Amino acid sequence: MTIESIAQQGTEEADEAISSAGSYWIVFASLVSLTVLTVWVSYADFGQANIVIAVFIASIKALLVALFFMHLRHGNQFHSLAFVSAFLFLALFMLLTHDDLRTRGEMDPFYGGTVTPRSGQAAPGGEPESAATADMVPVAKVVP
Amino acid sequence: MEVVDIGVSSVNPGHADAEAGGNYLTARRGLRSWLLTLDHKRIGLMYLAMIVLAFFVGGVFALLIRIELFSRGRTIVDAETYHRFFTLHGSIMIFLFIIPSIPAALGNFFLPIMIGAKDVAFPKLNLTSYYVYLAGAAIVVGSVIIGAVDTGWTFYTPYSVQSSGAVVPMTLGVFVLGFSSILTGLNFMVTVHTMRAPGLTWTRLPLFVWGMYATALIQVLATPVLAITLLLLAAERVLGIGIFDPKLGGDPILFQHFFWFYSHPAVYIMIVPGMAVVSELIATFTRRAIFGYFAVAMSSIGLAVLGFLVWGHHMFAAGMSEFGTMLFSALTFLVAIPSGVKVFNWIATIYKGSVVWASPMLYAMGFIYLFTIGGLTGLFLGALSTDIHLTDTYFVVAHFHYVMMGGTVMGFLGGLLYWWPKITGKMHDEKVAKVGFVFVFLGFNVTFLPQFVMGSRGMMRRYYDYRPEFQIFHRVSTVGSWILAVGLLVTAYVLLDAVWRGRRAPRNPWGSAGFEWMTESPPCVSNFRNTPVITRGPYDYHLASPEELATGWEEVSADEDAGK
Amino acid sequence: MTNASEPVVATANMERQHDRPESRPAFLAHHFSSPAQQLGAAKLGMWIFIATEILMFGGLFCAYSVLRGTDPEIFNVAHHFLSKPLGAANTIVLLFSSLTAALAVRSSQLGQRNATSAYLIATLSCACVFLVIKYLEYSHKIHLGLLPGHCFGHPWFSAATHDGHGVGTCLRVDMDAAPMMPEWVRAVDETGKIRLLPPRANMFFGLYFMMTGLHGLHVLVGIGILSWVLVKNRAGAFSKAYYTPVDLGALYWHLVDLVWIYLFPLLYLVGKPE
Repeated sequence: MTIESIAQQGTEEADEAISSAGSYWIVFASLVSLTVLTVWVSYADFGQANIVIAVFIASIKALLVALFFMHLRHGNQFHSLAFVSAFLFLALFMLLTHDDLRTRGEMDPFYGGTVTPRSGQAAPGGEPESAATADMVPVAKVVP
Repeated sequence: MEVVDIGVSSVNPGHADAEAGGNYLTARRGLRSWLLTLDHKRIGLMYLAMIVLAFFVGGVFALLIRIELFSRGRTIVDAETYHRFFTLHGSIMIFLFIIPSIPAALGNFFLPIMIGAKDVAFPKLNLTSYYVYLAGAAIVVGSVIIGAVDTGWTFYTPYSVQSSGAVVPMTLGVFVLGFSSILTGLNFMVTVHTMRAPGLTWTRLPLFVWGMYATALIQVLATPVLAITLLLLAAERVLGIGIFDPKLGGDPILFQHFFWFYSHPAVYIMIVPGMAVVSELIATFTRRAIFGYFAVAMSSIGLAVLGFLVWGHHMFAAGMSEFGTMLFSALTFLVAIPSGVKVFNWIATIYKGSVVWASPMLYAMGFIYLFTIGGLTGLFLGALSTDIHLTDTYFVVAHFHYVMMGGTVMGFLGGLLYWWPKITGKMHDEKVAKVGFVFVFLGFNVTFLPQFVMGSRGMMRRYYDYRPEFQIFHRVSTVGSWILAVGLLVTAYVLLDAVWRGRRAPRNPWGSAGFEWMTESPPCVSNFRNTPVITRGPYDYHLASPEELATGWEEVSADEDAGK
Repeated sequence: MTNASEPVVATANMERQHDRPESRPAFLAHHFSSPAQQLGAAKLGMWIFIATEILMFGGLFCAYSVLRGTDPEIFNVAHHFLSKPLGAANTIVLLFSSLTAALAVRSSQLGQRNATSAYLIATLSCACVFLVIKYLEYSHKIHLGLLPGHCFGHPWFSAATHDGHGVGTCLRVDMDAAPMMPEWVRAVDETGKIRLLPPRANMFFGLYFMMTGLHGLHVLVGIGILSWVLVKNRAGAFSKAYYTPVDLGALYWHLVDLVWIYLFPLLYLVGKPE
């Protein structure tokens, strides 16, 4: 390894690839089409799936912007890693916070034990119904 | 060292500090040359001055807290003021002192030197982040004057929404400080990626640099969530949006989720740099390569990543779902592993090394001992069943002081003493530094060991008054705080005294193989006279030449005898 | 493996650009050794910054998801008070501005100064259109009293009528008074229908204003950044060899667009359709 090649190692970036203007317009047309699609779908009722579809379409749009407009497809891996990691850590935050909120229980004074407010079913973990709760004065049942 | 200068280009007027001769301290003089400097070394020193000031102010509050707790009931202040004391102690120590401490002071100074670069990737951003830090500090101080906050540094809702203290200015100040942290982290990451000297592969990086990189990773990923948390808290307080208020359909525990998603990784921002310094100290003072270099490097990254998974362990008794608590408890055990990897590798390095008991090495040993205690007590707190009894007691207080003070501050002081000859070109009085260490170590243990005991017996944290059976523990702890204060003042004296009256230090007073010791003390403005080409690792004592490892004390003594 | 006696610091004999000042371009900062290194560092720095912004906005999206999880009713009704046509228009405007920003970078890479200026002006115009539409939306909501927290349904805003309960002062000055929450508020939605907003609908609007407000702030900053880039471009600072600020300004703008791509469906398009 000559000193010159050591000097070149690792710090140089390849010349930036230049996309054609046409490719940008095609991406733009796709983005507009997806926007029209997502607005159109929002007028139909798919129940819970509405938000899933909306986020899915939004993610495709985001991917198009990131890959083409922001040049992620040109290959610098660390840029892509930074971008994806941000979403991953965000997903981690949302996942664990939701997990807490979803499984939180309340004391069901009528039957004892803890139940999740939404479904009325037993909340995971915690004390099973025991003599300790047997003396509790029943009040109006928790309405899910 | 040869003084052949490769010459920094004079075509670029932007970095006007650059000069052919002298060192970074003498190159340009005058207040403006410091306040508008782009030299990472000067910026590091300016940070150091503020950080030490913050440590002093936070320390004064600590002493006041301990004086108040010396006796039951009112000793010097009432309960309201006491709440303000511990809030300020916590906020100042965490946001103004310990989070910036090693990265902004020592990291700024040594990261570029250790990778053979002339500066960080974005020198102007570096200076900007310093002024952002100053602005944040000013806002925090201002908020103290307007109406000191008494919520505890954690600003839990609903009290922080209702409290009459100046919560919004305080959170605004912390918000601004967060940006200083983010910009520093961003700068360090880009510097390590793009500005390594020729031949410096990732596997030859000094462990201090790995530590700074891992810290930067956490700073960049976690601090933005703190920013949004504080914005939401301010909106809650000013507008009453209701997201944290159960009466309005919100959830106070949601605030805790938001807050601890940053603040748990923040504690790794605090400790990983301390560990990074200790790796350097142990390698130099045992004159060996760190055992398991790659494992230690990866454990820094491991701490950075795993630290994001465990924030719920601060909320076991807050009202989180039981399933959530079980999940977080299990994940918390995972995060103990990388710390263990480091401790075992350090011990393996010391075993059969040629140990020199210089004062930095004493601090490194103090770190290992105290951090291990702190880390092991963390396991008691991570285990769900024991945490129910220990949470919010003095056991927690003792745990985090063992890791943050017995850990990071030991690393910080050890790093300062280690690198002081390089920074100032002067050698400090080792004997007095060792005396300082004895007082610090002794004082620290006397202060915080009793707190484990009283915590496990039920003494709650942040309480103004307490039951009679705890009085003896509090008194011992307070006396310990005075011993600790003496030790810290002695150490500060040693460092300042060296600047004025210290012996001139040679290039490599400790005989280390580290890259930063290959340039003169203090370094020239561009760090190295000639761009280094790296052909060995920083701990490869068997590959380093005798010239590189020569301490240079003989020349210094000869010069002194000749009256130079 | 190298010889043990070889020094780690080699006296430089390398042909690096900083050896020869005359070959060093003016835009190359002193601490970088080549333009490629400088560009690489700048782009990496920008991408890390983008990651931090994603996490910051992400916190708000998390708050959104939490509120949606606990109170979906609010979303089903309140979203009718957001104008889908205006929101969609804003989306198209931002997407177009992203296109022109990307084209600006491209023309800068090709050294086409005038085309770059034209595209930057187009981007800035779209940004201003976005802010104008935002202003229209905000003023409509303020008029109706659909505001966050305590300001919700405030008597100052006459178009909202409410069944009895006062809501106290808009900004919190009275620490001890518990905030009165409007129970049901009758208000006129975007299509002119009068709807009943459920209790705690003010939380939706709180989130709406915080999310779009923070986004709007970023748009403003983006206008500042791109204006500065435009000024420098017209002064001839950029060329085929050095277009980094255009690149970074456009990256920031794409980030602003990205956030809106998610904001639009989550705020405007979800909830039960008629």
